[in-house]
Amino acid sequence: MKGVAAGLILFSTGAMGLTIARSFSHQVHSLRQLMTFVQVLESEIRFARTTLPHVLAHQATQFSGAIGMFLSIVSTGLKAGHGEPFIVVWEAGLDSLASNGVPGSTLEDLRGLGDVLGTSDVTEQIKHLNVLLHRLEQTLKRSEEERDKQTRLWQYLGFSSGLLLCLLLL
Amino acid sequence: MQKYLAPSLRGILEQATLSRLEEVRIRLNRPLMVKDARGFSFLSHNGQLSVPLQAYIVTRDDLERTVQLVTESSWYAWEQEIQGGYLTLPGGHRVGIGGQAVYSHGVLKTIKNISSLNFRQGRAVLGAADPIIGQVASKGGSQVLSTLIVSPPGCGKTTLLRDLARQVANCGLQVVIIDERSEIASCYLGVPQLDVGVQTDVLDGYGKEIGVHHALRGLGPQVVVTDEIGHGADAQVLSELARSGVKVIATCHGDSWENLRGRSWAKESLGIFELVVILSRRMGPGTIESVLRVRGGT
Repeated sequence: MKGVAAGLILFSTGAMGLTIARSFSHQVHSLRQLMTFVQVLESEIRFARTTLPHVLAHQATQFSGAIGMFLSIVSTGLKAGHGEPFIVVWEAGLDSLASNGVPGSTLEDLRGLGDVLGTSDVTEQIKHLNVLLHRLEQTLKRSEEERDKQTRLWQYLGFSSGLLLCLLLL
Repeated sequence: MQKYLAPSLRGILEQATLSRLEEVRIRLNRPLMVKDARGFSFLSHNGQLSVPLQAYIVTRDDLERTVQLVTESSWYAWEQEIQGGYLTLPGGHRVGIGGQAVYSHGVLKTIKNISSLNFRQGRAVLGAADPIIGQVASKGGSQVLSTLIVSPPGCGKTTLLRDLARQVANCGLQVVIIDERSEIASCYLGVPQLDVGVQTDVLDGYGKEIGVHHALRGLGPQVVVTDEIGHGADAQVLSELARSGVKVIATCHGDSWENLRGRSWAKESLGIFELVVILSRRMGPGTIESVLRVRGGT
């Protein structure tokens, strides 16, 4: 009986540790996907002058998870035909990103892009996208360092706190 | 065309009883105006024909939403068209833009503070060229004459040109349209929105010179169709086509053949044409005043 209880405690705390550790990897994955999207958007604007509804609708099918959902929400909003300012539709998509673990600083950067995306000529658009890419690179670097540190820490903490609980309770 | 208007304006137009809508004019802080077969009129908030004082006044929100819809929230995608002063929508409809010009190095870069939009319904008149097709091309297309359509603005030159292109292409000839201002085929995302014939390639937004080079090198045309010749530089382009044995169908501003021949660029440019069609509005747009057989610009 005690062995089963100890196993359950170890399994629960270990799983909690692994879940928290995995959230750091998710963040890195989301940032990498965002960077890929911004690079695709930049080249679609630079070389093909593709309109935002077309790029976003196509890219929504290329990405899974949080980024795919974000692009899908914005693309659907643009196709609704209400003519709202782009930032209104973009913000609705950002709300979904916020609940999917994308860092607050990145959300602010994306909000800044939403204010200017589609509103100026190609040269200006490319400048804005390059600034965002640079910022995303920096955030990604920080997130990778954070992930490397925190992943092991939380995995260790999960299992060691389980062991401690077992020793104390049993 | 209505789906590109702000929802509030769309609602008004849906309630209005119009006879063949031709234009919708949206001007900031001014009455909503439409043009149908009966002429220009103002619309009230419930779509009734009205006097200006009781008409619906277009708001900034209406205008901004309409701009978002027309440009698909992607101003950068229409840079070239905006510099030309209008956009083409699916269906061949056109939106003229009024606002404040922004110049860079002496060239119009963009338009800001947009204050008016003019929607014009795109419409091809199939059969507009029926009265002259027999003179321009023989049945089966074995012989085609280089043709110049001449008229003052607003007399239906482009409408006639488009239908000639369609009919000549349907005769079995390879036609290339060099559509500098997207007025002939009204391309949207490169696809002609109006019927220009089954054997027609459209070079959309090309200048005449580069368009002719591309057409001759890559598309093997038997007939090249283009709008509004009338500059010195056109002479070289036209003579290159003549040297290549390609027939040309083009339009030109003017009111008579005699006046046209007197212009400085005419001597070199007009020599290739064999047929001249003079249009007027005497009995409505597209009235054919005369069809002249000419040779060597005389």
